[in-house]
Amino acid sequence: MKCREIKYFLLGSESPDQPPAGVQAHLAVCKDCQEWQSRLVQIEMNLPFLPVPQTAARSTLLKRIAALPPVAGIAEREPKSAGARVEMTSSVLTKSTRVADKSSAAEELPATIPMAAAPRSPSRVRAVLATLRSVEPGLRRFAGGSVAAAILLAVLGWLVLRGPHQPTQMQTRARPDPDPLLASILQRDLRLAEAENAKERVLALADLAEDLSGEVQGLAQKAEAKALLPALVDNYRDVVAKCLVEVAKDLPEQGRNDILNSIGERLQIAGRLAGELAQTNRIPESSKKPLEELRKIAWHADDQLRALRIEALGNVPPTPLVVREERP
Amino acid sequence: MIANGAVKESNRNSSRFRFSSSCQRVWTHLASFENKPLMVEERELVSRAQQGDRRAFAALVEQYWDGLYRWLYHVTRHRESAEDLAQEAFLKALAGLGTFRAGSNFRAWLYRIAYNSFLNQRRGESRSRPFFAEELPALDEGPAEQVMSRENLLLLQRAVSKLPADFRAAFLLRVEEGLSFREIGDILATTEETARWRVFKARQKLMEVLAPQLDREKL
Repeated sequence: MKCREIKYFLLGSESPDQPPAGVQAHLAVCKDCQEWQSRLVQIEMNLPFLPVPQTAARSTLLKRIAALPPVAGIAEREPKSAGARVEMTSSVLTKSTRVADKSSAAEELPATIPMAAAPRSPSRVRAVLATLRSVEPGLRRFAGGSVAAAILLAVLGWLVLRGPHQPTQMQTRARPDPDPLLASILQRDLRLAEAENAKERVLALADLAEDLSGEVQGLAQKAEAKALLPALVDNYRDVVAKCLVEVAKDLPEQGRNDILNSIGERLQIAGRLAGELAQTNRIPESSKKPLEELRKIAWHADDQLRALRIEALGNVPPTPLVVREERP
Repeated sequence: MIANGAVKESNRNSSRFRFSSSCQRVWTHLASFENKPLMVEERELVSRAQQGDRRAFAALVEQYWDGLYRWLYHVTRHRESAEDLAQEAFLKALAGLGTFRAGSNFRAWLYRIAYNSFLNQRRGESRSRPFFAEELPALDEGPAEQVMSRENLLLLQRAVSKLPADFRAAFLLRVEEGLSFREIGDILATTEETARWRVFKARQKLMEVLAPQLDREKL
């Protein structure tokens, strides 16, 4: 059961090769899951080796673009030039032998997409910088920014207390950025600021909670983190109990149960991993209480989300997507 | 520590001010760790291309052609279609540069244009294209311990080609382009959670097909 959840987590994670500390803790002791993860990573690492036939189309395209007459000041005379641009492109398209759908070249363009990450080899720091630069107007627009602001301030305060980030023994992979947690939290926070509805907010909060629980589980293995863990668990409580559960109440009916179930599942896994870590002898005695506390917070929040689902279904107990073990 | 939703307006303003200044400090701090700012370079190119600079647009073509063509080839499983769609995407992007908002994600916008064209093309096709396996690359193109055997690469190729196009598109954007689920959702005109779900299912399917073979090979 536990292994199945770990595998599900990895299948749905953005980077199965860089799982959070909690999952790494399980992988370190479960050979089966470790093998399974390495297979998954191996498959993904080999995708770039799949062959793609060579093509001369790029050169052809570049030649055509170079042959186009220079267009001065497109941006300045945008309203009038829209038609001209379509005309210009149509002339380019006519020269192409296979390009289809000539007439609608400029009409089907999608809306521009907000910047979210750096292209290729995404450095988390670079992604945060890009995000910060691009969403400043969004931040100003966000009227209810107090929640996001408070979370960021709380976490920044904790980061100041915590000092420089030191990788734990369980984090076997090199972390290239100066503080991935900070980068990650900033991203979550900016997502919160950008969120336009309860669903986006609740998903951003769930991600933030996951980051925090992973960090707690990573730091729990270090004796020197004794003073920091309670503060971090407090932050986790704030995010989960005061924000996530509250915002979840505002979720629209459509898709509500799926979202609640998915988040509940993540909370339960976080709680279980924290609880299991607390039972091992690999961590200092001082880390056990904060881990137990985190488990209780996560499971309590899961219960609250389940209650919301039951409420939404008219007091008929829902069938969970994931069969959950009985909890003490 | 966390303010609830019913914070007074004055508190909101105060928090917002502190939030912005905090962000600014963090930004300044992080900037010292930044490598060559690729994003700034892209913005510069887009800006110049918007002014009519063809060389700047050509540089954008150089920058994104390989990734886009490769993705389209895997999605369409057809060289000529991939070439056409890639060309069409760039030309539409060139035509629509005036509507592109500065600071937006050019790559995601470009991929979205290409995907829309792919969907249009697929709607117009009455039959699916056959998949022809291409010649596999030499095995010494990567670290030896990470590269699969020729046989397994062929298996991977077939397994990827059998994935539903939507799953394949999302999976390749995640793995080969390194895009976040949110960006994938933007490109495929769906939600972040759906993008995650498609990647999840693609991985699950590939593991079903390939993991036993990889295990056997290990033994």
